Amino acid sequence: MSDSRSDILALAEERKALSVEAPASGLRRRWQVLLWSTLGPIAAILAAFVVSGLMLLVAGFDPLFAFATLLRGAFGDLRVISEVLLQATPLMLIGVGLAVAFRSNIWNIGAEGQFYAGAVLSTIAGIYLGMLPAVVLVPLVLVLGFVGGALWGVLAGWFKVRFGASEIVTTIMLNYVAIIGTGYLVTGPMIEQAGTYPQTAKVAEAARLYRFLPPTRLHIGFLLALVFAVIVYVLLFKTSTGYAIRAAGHNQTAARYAGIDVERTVLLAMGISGGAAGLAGAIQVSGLTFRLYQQISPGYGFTGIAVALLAGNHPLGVILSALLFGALRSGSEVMQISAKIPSVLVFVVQGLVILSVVSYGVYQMKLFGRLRVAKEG
Amino acid sequence: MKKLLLILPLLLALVLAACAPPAAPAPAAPAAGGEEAAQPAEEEVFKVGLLSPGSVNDEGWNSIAYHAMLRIQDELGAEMSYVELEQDPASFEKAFRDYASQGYDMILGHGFEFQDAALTVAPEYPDTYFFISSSRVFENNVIGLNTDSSQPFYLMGVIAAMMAPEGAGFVGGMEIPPISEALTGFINGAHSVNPDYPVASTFIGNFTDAAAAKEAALSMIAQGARFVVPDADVAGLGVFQAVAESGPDVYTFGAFGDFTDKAPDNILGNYLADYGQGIVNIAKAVKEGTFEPTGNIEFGLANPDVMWIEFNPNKPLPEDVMAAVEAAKQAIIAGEVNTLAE
Repeated sequence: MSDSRSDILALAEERKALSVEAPASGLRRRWQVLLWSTLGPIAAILAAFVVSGLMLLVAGFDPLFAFATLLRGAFGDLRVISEVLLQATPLMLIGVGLAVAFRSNIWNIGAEGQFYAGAVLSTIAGIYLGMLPAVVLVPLVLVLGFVGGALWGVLAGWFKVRFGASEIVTTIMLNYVAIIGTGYLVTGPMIEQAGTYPQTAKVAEAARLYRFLPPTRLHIGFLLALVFAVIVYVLLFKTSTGYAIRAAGHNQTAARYAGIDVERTVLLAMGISGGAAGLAGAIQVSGLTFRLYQQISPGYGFTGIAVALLAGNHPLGVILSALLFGALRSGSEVMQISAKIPSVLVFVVQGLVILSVVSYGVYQMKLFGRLRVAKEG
Repeated sequence: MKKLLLILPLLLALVLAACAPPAAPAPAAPAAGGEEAAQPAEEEVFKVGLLSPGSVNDEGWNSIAYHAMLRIQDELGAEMSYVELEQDPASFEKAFRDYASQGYDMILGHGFEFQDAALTVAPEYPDTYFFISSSRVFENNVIGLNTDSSQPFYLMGVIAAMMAPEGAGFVGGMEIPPISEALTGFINGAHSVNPDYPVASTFIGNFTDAAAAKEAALSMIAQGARFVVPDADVAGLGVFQAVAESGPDVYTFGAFGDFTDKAPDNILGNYLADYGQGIVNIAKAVKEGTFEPTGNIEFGLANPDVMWIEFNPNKPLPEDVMAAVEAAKQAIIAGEVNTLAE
């Protein structure tokens, strides 16, 4: 730990010296950045496992066996790998969406509600438009999921643009509206025909996502999430719209002065991030659960925030961080089942991994910040 | 600063070195052995798994199942394991497979929401029983477990109609199947004594608002009800308050617990249930190979260790009422009375 730290400090010193004497060392800097951004997170994860291993040891469990089951539960065979990818799918979509919002300095805490809004709208289509053929219905269900989430997000964005209402407050409040509203629909107007259990009817066969790797449950929603991440990457970094979003995030006043319609970018960012969460809701229903429950999400919308932040709000980085979260979650279930480690300790292990990766991220920002300053100085 | 950072890992290493040797062999051996060493004897170990939709330490719904599992582990020498799934319907199927693929003999999905996933997975694992709490599903090795509260409430209805001929009230929590079935049972019981017996009923819409339950009970009493019974979890305490404040000639009955001290002069008895005992009974039958289901499991008055009534010794019922209650109880057990008749 200390070695890396002193190395980094030395490196920064060196950079400072270099920047004065020979500013043209961009390639070398690039290599350093690449090295630190790949080795760093791995070291952080290892450190987390050492610390949580100690805790398991103190609690009377064999940490090596525990971590072996964790790994086996996440990567042991095709079935568990597919489950990791499925677990990562909603987190990936939500994380990519939130990355857009966070990049434009909009603190959308409402992905959970947007997820529900998308799930509700797509379930309605999946149940009541069951007579449509799959080629029409599946895209329709997904588009409606996106639209539902986007509307829910744009609503909060509109409150901000029109009344200056803090999006942090409004998105949190809209979460409750969506979740409780779903509860009402599921126990009331949309309750299944039998009327016994608070759940909707199943969506039509034609509304379900194609599973391309039987006997696993892996469905095309995962591929969609990957494609979505790439699209958002291109949008953010290769188009003028993306530039506007990022510019508004850096400095609203300057962006406005430069002729960027800041209000429009707020609505756009909320629309994209809400839509992504809504799409995740639609995919969850039409890909896995096939019906709506009062609680359709275990907090994907909130985990998605961590997923986005961990990836430094980079859409392609989100793919990796969503996979990490998915593997942790999926593997830790097996850790409970096979190694019989109490859930509380499992959550501690999960938390430590996330915490150390995130703190590395902060540290990294500091480090690179220093390098950048040094270069400019 | 730099020195401190140098010392820290050294300390960490020391702690590691100090901890590792004594601690590792002792607890590690059984934990690690569990999977590997027990391999040959695996066939003989009875294995039960629990899928819990929330924390097993919630001292409520999930704790009931968890404690039942602990009892199965202790009393039947079973290997027990549980997993908390945080209300994520998408993860249920995987968890069932995780257990079934490891040769578990029975898996309990603790809530109706586990039905779909169990029905999907069960055909692949015909040697495993999949039990679902508060469900009436029955399909080969997927079996719903339900407690039929309409039966004890039927008996309460009989008592109400005989002890308080003026009329009765029922204060429910949310209008969900177990509660509305209890109301149906209560009305049927009362009407078995007097077909014109008035029963007022209301649902306060939650299980926590004791003040709303109290208001509802008070207004029922003001309209002439002389027996008001709650089925609203903790909100039911409001009903006991209302009854206690209305004098000893207004009666009530406890449900899912002993509430005698909340209204000692008004409570005629308590309906007590131990769903965990029902789970243990079934596990025992599965282990002994005597479990041959012909339908979903419906725990009722016929299972006196799962569902029973304790009368308040300080408010003894007249003999004719006791006789009528006993007769109704026997008729229900014999299947002669349908407590859920519309």
